Amino acid sequence: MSDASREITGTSESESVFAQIIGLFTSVRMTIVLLILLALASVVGTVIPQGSSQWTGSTSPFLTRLALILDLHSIYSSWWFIFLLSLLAANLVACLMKRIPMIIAEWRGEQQRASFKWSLVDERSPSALKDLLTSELRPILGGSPAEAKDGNSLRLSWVKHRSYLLGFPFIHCGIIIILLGGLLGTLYGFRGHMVIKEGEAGENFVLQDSREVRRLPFQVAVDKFTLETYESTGRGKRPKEYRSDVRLLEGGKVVAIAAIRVNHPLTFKGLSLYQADYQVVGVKSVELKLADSDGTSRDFKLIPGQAEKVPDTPYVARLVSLDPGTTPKGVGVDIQVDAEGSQPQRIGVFTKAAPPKLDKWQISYVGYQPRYSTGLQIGYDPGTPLVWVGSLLLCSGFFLTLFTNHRRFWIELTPKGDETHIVLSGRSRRSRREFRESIKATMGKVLGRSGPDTELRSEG
Amino acid sequence: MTNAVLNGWLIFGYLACGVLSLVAIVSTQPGSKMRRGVLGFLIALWVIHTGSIILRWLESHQLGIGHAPLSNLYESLVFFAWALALALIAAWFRFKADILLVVGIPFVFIIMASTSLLNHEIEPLIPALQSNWLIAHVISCFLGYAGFAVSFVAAILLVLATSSESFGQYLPGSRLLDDICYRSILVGYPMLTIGIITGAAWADYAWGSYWSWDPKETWSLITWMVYSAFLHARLARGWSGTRTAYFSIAGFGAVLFTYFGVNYLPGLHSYF
Ligand code: HEM
Repeated sequence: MSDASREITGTSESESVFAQIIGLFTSVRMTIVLLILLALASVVGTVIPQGSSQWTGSTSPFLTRLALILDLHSIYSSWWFIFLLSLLAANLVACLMKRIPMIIAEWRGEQQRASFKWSLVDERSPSALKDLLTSELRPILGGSPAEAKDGNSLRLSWVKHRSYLLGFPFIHCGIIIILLGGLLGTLYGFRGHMVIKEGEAGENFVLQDSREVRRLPFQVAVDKFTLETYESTGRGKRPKEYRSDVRLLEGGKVVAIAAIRVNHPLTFKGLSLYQADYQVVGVKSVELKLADSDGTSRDFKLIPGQAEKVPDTPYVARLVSLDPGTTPKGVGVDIQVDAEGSQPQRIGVFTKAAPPKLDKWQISYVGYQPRYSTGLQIGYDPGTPLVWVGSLLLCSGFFLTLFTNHRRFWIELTPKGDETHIVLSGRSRRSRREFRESIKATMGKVLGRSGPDTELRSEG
Repeated sequence: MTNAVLNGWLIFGYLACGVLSLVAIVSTQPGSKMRRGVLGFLIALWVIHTGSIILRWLESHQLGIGHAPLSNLYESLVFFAWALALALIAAWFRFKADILLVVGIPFVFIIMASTSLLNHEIEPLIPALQSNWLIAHVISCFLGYAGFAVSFVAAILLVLATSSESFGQYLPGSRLLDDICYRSILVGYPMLTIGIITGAAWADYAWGSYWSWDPKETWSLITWMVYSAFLHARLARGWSGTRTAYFSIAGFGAVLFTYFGVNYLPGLHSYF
């Protein structure tokens, strides 16, 4: 426990209310209370269904009114939840403001606090001792000491891993920035959803919560939607990849061409388009096979709304309807064939029925290309960059507090007659015992003295 | 030899290792050959466990649906057991407390045994899960959970040691248990934080919003808040001993609910 973090309690009674409030906001007790309250509120938020307006749990008017006042159906954006978060932010800022001066003082080494102190006497001169000690202590303290003359005594001071001191501010600034990013996101960000058929374009989307319709600053034209499935595993058609090939247009002019895939969104002008879902909305084309009696066969493709001439016959064929397999006849199509001067006839070509005959061809069903509509999710969150900056700060703060160890060490050499009085003192933020042992071992070797004479009560 | 068969053998291995560690602690002195043997056995099992995870990864590639083995409940349980075994081994080298193994290994056994109830077939990855963020998210979360599990074990022992004297004399000093409880949270906490951050990054990347208060996300945040409160109670208010032990136990309760309980709430993350 560092003493810097002890609360300065016992301030006098007559102090102003303002000082008490400041005292409250800079106390970690408030932090713990806020964290627990926020945790409990979040628990409630996972039990009560969020988003649904009516209180399905009970019929009593009191509970429904309570649910309304406390926004129990949208706890995470409720007034009191945001109030708790802003209290936490204020608590964080107050804590930082209180500790920054101490951290700066410690950074500059104005803090002379030590966790151990030894005084020894040696017959060598201060300058001889200085060179000897500097080289011997290099492996532990790295780098050479700063020197200062204090009257006739020489003061050497080492410092290692000052960056440790940045750990605390980084962690707590990171949290503040994340909270700010979150606030920005809830205030100005939005999420929506839009559905566009293949071959069509759209710019309107529906807001997720309020179902309000909004317009994008550009048009999205969906040229093609592809659905890739895992065929190899034979586990049926498990989706492997959805992909929408789109062009973005501003005033009819193409400004971007891209493929939107799951996990690979398209971001344009701060707005992100995400591949969400898809539906089959029609038929793009049907593939049939024309087999001749002598074994030759031809592919025959029909596109809805287009008449297609049946090769080597006077007939023209047109697609009427497609049945994805709702009858025992299996998957298949009804097509209409007519020729000059004869009555149009209706022919059914189904997988589980005998292939029909037309002129010299026997027609069988091969497959069809569905026409999709692609569901795109629109995301806009101005707070996201802040959240990532805050997270980066938070992680670097962890790294500093876990993998560096701020250590300081001083030696005062005062010549007295033909002897030199030595005062050694130092402190280490973490692994205090190891640091003291390593110094004691070096001193033992260099000065030939085994233990320290006076050792301060080691700090915590 | 498929990974599923290997995992089956590992279940018996961990059971045997747990029983041996109990026998060792009761019948031999600290530092005895048998106790060192138990540790060696645990390390060997962990190496095989690592092999089984790698084997599953290779098998998924052979099936043409190659993905990191972290995508369903079976794979995450196997990884959690692996991470917990690793955490116990690391904790032993740091603190030399054999009792941790005696109480910890049965947990690894229970987790591995529970995987035998699940379908261990390798399934293809649905598009939403095809992302490197998934790997970073699941690994950091489970390393965090493993750290909290070790702290939970130490906390339980601490409460036992202080509440009943008769049981206490078997256990290491409460100061050591308190140190284990704190230090394993100090390691687990950054891992959980990174887990939440990578989870948010993945959600932002794949679904367009880094935080949608989905029950699984919310519960990992709740767990994070409990452990944040623990750290502050300890670091800035100087709490220690049974008071922080109860905090650690509460925290681990939140971890278990985040991992198991939340799947019974509607939401994005259900593995079932
Ligand atoms: C959600 C918000 C917060 C988070 C996530 C957080 C996180 C942390 C972490 C991870 C540490 C441990 C650093 C280390 O290992 O040295 C810590 C320490 C500390 N925090 Fe916070 N903190 C938060 C809010 C606050 C607030 C509001 C205060 C204001 C009083 C505060 C005061 C402290 C103090 C005094 C320490 C001890 C530093 C030390 O002695 O090393 N924290 N915090």
